[in-house]
Amino acid sequence: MRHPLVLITATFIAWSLAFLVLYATQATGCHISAERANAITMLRIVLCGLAILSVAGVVALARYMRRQTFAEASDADRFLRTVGSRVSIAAIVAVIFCFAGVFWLTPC
Amino acid sequence: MSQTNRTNSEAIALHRQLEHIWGTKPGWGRLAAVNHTVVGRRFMLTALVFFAIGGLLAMLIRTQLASSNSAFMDAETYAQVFTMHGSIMMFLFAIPFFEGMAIYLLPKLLGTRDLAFPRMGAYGYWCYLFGGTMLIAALIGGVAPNSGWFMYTPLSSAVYAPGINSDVWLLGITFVEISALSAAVELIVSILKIRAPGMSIDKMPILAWYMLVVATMMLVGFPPLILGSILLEVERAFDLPFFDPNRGGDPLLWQHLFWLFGHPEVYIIFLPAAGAISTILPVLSGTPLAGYRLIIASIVSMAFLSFGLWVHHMYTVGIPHLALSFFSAASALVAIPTAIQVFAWLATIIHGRPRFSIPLLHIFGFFFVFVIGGLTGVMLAMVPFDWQAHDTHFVVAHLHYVLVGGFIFPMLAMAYYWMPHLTGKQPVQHLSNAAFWMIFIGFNTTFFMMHLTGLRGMPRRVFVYPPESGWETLNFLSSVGSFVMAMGFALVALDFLLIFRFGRAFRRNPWKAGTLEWAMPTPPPSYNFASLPYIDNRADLLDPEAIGPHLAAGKGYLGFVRHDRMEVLGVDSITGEPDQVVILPRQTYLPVWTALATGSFFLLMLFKLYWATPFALVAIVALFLLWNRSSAALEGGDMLDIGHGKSLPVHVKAASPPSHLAMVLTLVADATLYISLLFGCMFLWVSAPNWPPADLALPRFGLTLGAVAAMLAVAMGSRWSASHPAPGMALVLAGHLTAGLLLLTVAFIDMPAPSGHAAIASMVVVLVYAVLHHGIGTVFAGHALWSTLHRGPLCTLTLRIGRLWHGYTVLAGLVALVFPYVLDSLARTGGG
Repeated sequence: MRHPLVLITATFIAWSLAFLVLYATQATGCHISAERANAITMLRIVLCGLAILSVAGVVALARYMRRQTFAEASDADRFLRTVGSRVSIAAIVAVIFCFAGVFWLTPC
Repeated sequence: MSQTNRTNSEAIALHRQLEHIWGTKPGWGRLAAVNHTVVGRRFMLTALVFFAIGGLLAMLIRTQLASSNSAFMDAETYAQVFTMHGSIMMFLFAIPFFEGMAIYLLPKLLGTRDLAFPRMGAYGYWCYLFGGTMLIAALIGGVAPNSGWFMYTPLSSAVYAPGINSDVWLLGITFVEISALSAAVELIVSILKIRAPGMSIDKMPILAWYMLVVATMMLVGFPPLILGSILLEVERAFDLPFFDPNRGGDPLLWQHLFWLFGHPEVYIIFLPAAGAISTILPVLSGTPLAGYRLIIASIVSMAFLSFGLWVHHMYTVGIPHLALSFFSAASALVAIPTAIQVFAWLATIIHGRPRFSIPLLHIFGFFFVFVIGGLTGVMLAMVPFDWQAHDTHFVVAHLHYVLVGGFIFPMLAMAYYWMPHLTGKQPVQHLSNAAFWMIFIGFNTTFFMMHLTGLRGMPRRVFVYPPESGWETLNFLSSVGSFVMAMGFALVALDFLLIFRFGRAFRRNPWKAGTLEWAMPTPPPSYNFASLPYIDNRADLLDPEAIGPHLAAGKGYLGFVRHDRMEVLGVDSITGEPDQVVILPRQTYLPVWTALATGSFFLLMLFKLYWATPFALVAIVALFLLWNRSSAALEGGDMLDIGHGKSLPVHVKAASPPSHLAMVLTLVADATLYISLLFGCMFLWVSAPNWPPADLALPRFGLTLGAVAAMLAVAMGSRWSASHPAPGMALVLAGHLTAGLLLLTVAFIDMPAPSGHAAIASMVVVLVYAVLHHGIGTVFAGHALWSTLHRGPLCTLTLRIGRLWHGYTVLAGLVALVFPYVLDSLARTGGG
């Protein structure tokens, strides 16, 4: 996790994983719950939980990355931290904006 | 090797020696060229030839559509023409052109002499040339692909496209994709490892950042398309029904795989052009680029977001609202990092004093056209609007505004900007202005009208339309505009010829740029720099006028010739501190022979001579093994002097050699393909009709257990080989052979016929993937064992690279063994 290039991309890698998990859960959930009572409600609860977890996870990861200190930080380290923080902000916005629909849109 | 007090004659002698080693030989020797300047120029020139062919096809399309009920072309010809126009422009022009640009420019911008793997670059070029030639030959022969450039099934499946047209696309494009993937690996490794000493990651020129992001996107973006092409070709050739809904397949699987590649591809095309603008614009504005760090954050964010939009090409296929919202939101979001770049460029212009010039004029064209394309893109990202405009000319207009705006205008800007570097001549600018305005006016006349015909309901890809449709006037104007644009491009070609022939000579750095490509003679020598610079400032804020003579006098690093070797320095990817001397292979015919063998494999597949394909495969493997001969000669070297009192190890003994990173990246691409395959099979379970199959069967437990044991032997042997190379490699070899044979038995004897149902086909293909990896592992281990027995102990690098492959193969093999059980259990519990 401490490799400098991971620092830049970690939060968006988390966003990508959350994207795949939510899309796969939604598709699989709709497939297996087609003929089961209350399954859609259950699916929405699961999706809402996953979305909240994703946001919390990306925010926590961004905070963790920000706390990483460099004892003798070079220009390259400082540069990567600055770029990494900006990418993290973008990832937090992305994770909130992309998955907000789970709270009100038709899941299936 | 004192480098501080050289006389002029010594410096001239150094240049001659370097040219003798690095230069391309005349006559047939040109086929052996591996130099990045030569390969880059070839890529760009070949791409421009394909661009001219694609443009000619566009003219045919516009001639056909200029009037209603036109008899100029029949439906079949028109289908081939529009399919080839799209395919050529996307696969044979746009991507290869920027690959060529990157191959030509990057080593120069990074202050080094070549890319990390020159032979791979040459092999990529030949694959591209042969693959593209296959497609053009098919066009001339009247059997070109005819199912549209995204080849939707079932239109491209055997039932509706029984000829070889679709096979030409699937095999030809896959052949070209090999070139793109090899370029991606080569570019990433070169940017991270082969730079001038001192060029830490924060000092890299902005174009290197763009290319690093783009090459990474290619690495994970192209495998889904390659997988899709393989699955569709396997369906067409061997009747494995991945896309046939009657037998558990689903045409939507193709759409997912295609657009998983197809949407990032738009950004893969746009970002290099944006990188060129970020390089050129500050020079022409006389001020540093505004927001360097913010731009890097934007392109990293954009790269990720661009992979989350693929379904926005599929809004009308019946996906639930919630899933659509994920993709619609990502589609809207991706406009933000794009806008950040546009505003950073505007800020650069405002802060500086822009000099009017032809490149700047084309950048203006880019701003105007690309912003309009971006705005219509945001419109199409909104689901309700897309439902109205889907598959109409509005989408065609949007696509062209984005790609012509985002690629063609920047390409022309960079062509005029770097023409002095390529040719040693400065533009005279007599025709350049007129050419720009003809392209700009012609383009907008052509494609703005298409927005209107699209909003009036004209579908894309129709070859005739009725006179009462109300589309005729707009179409006629569109066609007139297209001919004006074509004349503009012809004028650009003439302008370039005139510059090449009559352009003004210049001394150095005509644009007063701060990048290293101007710190060398123009046209550039084959070795770029007689010695390598030490970089202590951002590499686009340098002073080439001062650096150039210093390097030309051989006063930098490696300012000498040693054993007629082609040497560059390898650096730590973050700090830029040099950590190894990378010895590059000399000119060789192996790339062209290997590409010919690869091409013969694809041709044998195309003409359905499947019995002969193993011979081609053996030839390919044998030729690749010959590539390894020169690497073996490097073993045994000590610390090497690099000048200025420093010594470094040769790359085969370094901690992080380029080839190790290259293998890691290759496995990343490979794993992306495998994950796409597994997800694709799961998608069929979720989405396809006619599940579960009636005769789903599982492998015999004994065979599974035997295969697991063989894979464990591979893992143990690989670990053991570090201390006991010969017995360790023998165990790996035996393990791979046994596991491969057992998996082959499971795939073709234990399983029912794979043509019966997509579930069985999925299991078989996953198992065959593992078998192929064990096969390649067998070759690796066999070669390593042979080398150990005949040449003595293997170098640690060979073992380390081998371990990566063996480890991945074991992991992939175990997943392949578990996969049938997982799919079986899913099909029984939730399928149908």
